[in-house]
Amino acid sequence: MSPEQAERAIAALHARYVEVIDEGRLEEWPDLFVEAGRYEITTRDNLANNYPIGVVYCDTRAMMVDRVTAARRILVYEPHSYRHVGGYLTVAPDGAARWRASAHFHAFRTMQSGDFRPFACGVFRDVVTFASGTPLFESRQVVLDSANIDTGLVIPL
Amino acid sequence: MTVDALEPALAWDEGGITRVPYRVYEDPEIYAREQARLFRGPAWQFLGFAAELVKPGDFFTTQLGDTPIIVVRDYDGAINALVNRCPHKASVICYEARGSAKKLVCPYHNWTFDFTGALRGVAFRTGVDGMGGMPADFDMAAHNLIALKVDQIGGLLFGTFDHGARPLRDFLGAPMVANIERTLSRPVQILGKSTQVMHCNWKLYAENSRDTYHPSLLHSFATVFRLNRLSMEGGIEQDAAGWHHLIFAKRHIEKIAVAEYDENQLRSTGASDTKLADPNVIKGWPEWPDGRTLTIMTLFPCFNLQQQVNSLATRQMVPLGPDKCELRWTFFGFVDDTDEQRLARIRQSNMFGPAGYIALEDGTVGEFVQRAVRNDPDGTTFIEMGGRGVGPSKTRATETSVRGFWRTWRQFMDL
Repeated sequence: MSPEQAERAIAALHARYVEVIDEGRLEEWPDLFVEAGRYEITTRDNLANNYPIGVVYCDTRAMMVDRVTAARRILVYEPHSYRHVGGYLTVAPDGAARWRASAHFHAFRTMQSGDFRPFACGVFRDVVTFASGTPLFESRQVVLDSANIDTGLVIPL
Repeated sequence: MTVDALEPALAWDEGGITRVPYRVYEDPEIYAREQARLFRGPAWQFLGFAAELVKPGDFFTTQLGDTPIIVVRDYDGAINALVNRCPHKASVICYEARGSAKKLVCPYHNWTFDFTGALRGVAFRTGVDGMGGMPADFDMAAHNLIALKVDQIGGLLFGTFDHGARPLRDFLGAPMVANIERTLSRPVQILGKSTQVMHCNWKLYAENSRDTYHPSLLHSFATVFRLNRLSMEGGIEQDAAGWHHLIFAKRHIEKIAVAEYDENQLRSTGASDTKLADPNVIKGWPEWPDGRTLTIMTLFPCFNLQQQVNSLATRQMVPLGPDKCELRWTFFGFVDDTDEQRLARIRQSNMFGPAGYIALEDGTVGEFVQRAVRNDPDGTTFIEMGGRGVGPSKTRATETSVRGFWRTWRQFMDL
């Protein structure tokens, strides 16, 4: 696979990722990962200090399914949605059928009251595998620039 | 303590602690008084972990209330806390979250201080070419940084502005000291930090963390997955003065049936058939011989030390005006943890912090209250679960510690 082909395929994966989250189709979100996939939200500061605990830590796809279940059935929170804006995708090969990728993002959060404001910005650091033919995340590490989270984070970034 | 009038005076019920006027959550005058009487007053407040200051010159900055603070390790190993404000033109001296320095130098005019806060150098003190400079009677010793009284227990650093304050251990009382020493008996390893910004008065969180009535009702996650139910063995310990409190529970001891949990009366029971696809998030190991799987200690005015299963954290409250505050979480484990133990703490951390299955709801509900009390200063809350008094309790179906908070707040505030 050429870098250009990989970049196109990963850009499409990113677009689908943002679409399922921003359009509220959370149940489809874990399907973008392999079964042993990892999803983590941490902060720049925690990474700089080698602190392993950030904001969210899922080291199986099942844990991501539980995040969705909690958002749907368990947690009390005010209904809201995100709108992600992203760019600056870079990709680099990492062995056979595996690529590392990174992209910058910004997410606005809109509350049911109509209040909307910047909620988070940072970078996605991904490992994407093409082993099954279609690209899937082996891992997505969301690195937030700020350690401050307004009120609470329910929906994955 | 002088009694400054507050006009109009706050109206309390006869017992004084079961009806709280909404005004205390939004009045800027009360907020200013809290800064003076609590956060710059005689209360010992959490500063951070001694483990974060390894060698001389290591520092971090924090806040007690609105006041910026530097915490620094001196050359003799002592840890000092200083108001982070130059006595000259009042600039902050350290503007980084943490670092290591040889001395403290104000960025504005380069006044220099040692790590006790003593002024050691004033740029161009004698002027230039015989002109300018400080007056002849300039007294270096009159311009030191304000130093706090500092002490530590189990590596947790505390400071107070009042050098005449009673010793830290007396302020906390025996049950709280014992809990800190029980929880932090080995060298600590910091595992991560995050901050929850809440759009509510800081006291709504102070009440929330003392409120043993709400967890199994608001936090369905804890109820559905049997982490904390009022039917589990547990209770509340308080210091003799009722200023601080400790909730504890043992999740493997649930002998009594409580009808509300079984008869679909609670919101949480609507989700009672929910299963975790990956139960590792709540899987732990029995870590303390006392069998306590949950301990949440709340110190006045607002600091928490938590052990929930094996997830260990401190929560430091920073008020940011009458209707906003920040909860700063520091997760930790121990230097001698095995890899499996560390991984269990990391996985369990999903329940806490700003995205925590349990903790994020506390950030949410504070704002729900703040929104509802706005501009209705004479309304009052109602706090009579478990009676009208303050004291230790064998059941957690009580608001005794919330009343304890208000009694303490009124003592310190003289209101």
